[in-house]
Amino acid sequence: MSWTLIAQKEIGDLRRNRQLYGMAVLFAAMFGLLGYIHANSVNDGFGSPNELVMLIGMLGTYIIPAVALMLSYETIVKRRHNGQLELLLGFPHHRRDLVLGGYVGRFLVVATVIVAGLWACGMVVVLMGATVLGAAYMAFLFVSLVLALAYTAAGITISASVRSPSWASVATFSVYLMFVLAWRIVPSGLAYLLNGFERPATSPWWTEYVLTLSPNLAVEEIFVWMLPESTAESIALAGSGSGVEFAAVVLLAWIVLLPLAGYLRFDRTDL
Amino acid sequence: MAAIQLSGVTKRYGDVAALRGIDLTVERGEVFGFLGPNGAGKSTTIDILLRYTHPTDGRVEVLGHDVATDPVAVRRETGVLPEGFAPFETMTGRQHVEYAIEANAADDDPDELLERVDVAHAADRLATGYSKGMAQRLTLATALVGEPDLLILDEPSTGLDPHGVRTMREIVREECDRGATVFFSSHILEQVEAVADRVGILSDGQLLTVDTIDGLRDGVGATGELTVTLEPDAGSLAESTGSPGGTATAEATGSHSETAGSSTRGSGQRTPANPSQGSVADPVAVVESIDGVDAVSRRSDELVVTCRREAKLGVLDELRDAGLVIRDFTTEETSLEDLFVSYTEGDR
Repeated sequence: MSWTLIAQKEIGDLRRNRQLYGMAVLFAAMFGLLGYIHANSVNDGFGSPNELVMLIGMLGTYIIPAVALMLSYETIVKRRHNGQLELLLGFPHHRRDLVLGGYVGRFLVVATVIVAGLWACGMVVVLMGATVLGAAYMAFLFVSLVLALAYTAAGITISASVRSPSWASVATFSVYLMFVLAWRIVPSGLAYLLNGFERPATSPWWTEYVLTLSPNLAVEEIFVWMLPESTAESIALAGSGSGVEFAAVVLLAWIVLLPLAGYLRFDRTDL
Repeated sequence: MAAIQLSGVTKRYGDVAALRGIDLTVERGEVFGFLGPNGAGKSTTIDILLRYTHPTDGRVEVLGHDVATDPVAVRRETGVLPEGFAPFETMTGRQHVEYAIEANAADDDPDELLERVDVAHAADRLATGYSKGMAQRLTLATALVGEPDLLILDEPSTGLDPHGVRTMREIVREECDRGATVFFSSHILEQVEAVADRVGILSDGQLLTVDTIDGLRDGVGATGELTVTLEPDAGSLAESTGSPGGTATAEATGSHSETAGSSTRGSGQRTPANPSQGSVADPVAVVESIDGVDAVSRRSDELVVTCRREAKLGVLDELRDAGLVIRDFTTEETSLEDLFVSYTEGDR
């Protein structure tokens, strides 16, 4: 299988240029620090074990998409620009192998970084004598990986679709701004626009669905569904409200359809 | 089954036509030189052969595989030295070759290949630190992995020193002897001349001609120029210029490709061919009548003859038979450069 060789090369590249280790250490430090803060407050008698996932969730929402996009958006476009693609495609690889192998390889690196961060956090909390709620923690790890996969897919799609690295960075930054930072206000903004620049009396029926189009909110919906009800309530996490099925469909579209579209565009254009 | 078959291949970028209907067949086992000035479309053609670029129209088959639908089969049997490539930034030279071996599922010895292209001394250095010429050699090594049936080399001598150019040439010959087909592009004429069995000249997106080097020479017409220096006293009366072909060529300038003066010296016993005339023959008149001679011009002791290659010896013989003493002669063939210019400037 040719794409597995590409995936191995991607992982090897990120190891050899130290990005894998650098990111893993950074994540371990950040999540470990949160673990330390949490365990400290629990040991001092404030806070409950439930609050751990809320704390790391607040960090994860922002930095998991960031690291996933950062480690993926250059995969193809950079090589297309500097001429490595000519070399790579001289070997018996299909362009499909480049997209799939890049996607899988980069995701595995992102996943390693996330696992390192959460492992460090869990270790710090346990070593300091506080409890980690196993089920909630594993659920958080799972949705973090799904979130990372969705944004890695977006990065690969951008990388396969545009020709110039500078456009790729602009597109990547826009995706981050839009879906990570701004999406919560998009449905009400859209309703405002469609209502003739006036705030509608009630939220339109589609508000929750539009909201769920961002992987962050789709993942939140799934996370709430996975958590024990008591935990979800105690950390005041509501989800997007669209229902878990719709969230799963949205995530599947990000994870599968987006890279497929990126590949098709890549395959049809000249190097 | 041909190694490369292009039928009616066109490529347009918006309004600009990069290739306008290329039909070309490269047979298996030949070394084919793809020649043309900068911007003629050589790299576009090669990119199309490898499916780096999609043709606007036309059909491309490499080693019997349709490039559009089965690019991997083509790449499996083809070694590629692309133009404007960059080595992988995190890999050493040896790792590049090892990657190529793995990708091709071959069992070559990386060190042997690196030795062959003369980068073994830098095998464990990062390839991004290589000079252009070394990167070129390294990529030639990766192209040779798995004994490909076809080698596609885009401007292979770019960045190579003279030693590297010779190595490249030797490898091309070795690969050809092994039975591989070699397709390479170049704008440097001597390199094409040195190794190619056949040449295709591309200009402005059109294939002007496909032929052997000799065939091209013949195609351009009167090809050789022979300059003969005669004993001063011989035929000094006749200071004339004749040119049956219509134009007398200028005196040969520049380098002489062959000089064989000393060998003819001393062989000039004066034996009048036509004693009844009582004087030495007019060399211009003697030469003019020879078959294959296009033009003759005379400048004091020198006779400049424009003729077919096979007529040259006859010219010398006739002059001696006519009682003239040849002191020296030089001969020059139409350079590929002239051919190239004559083809690409639309004289024909």
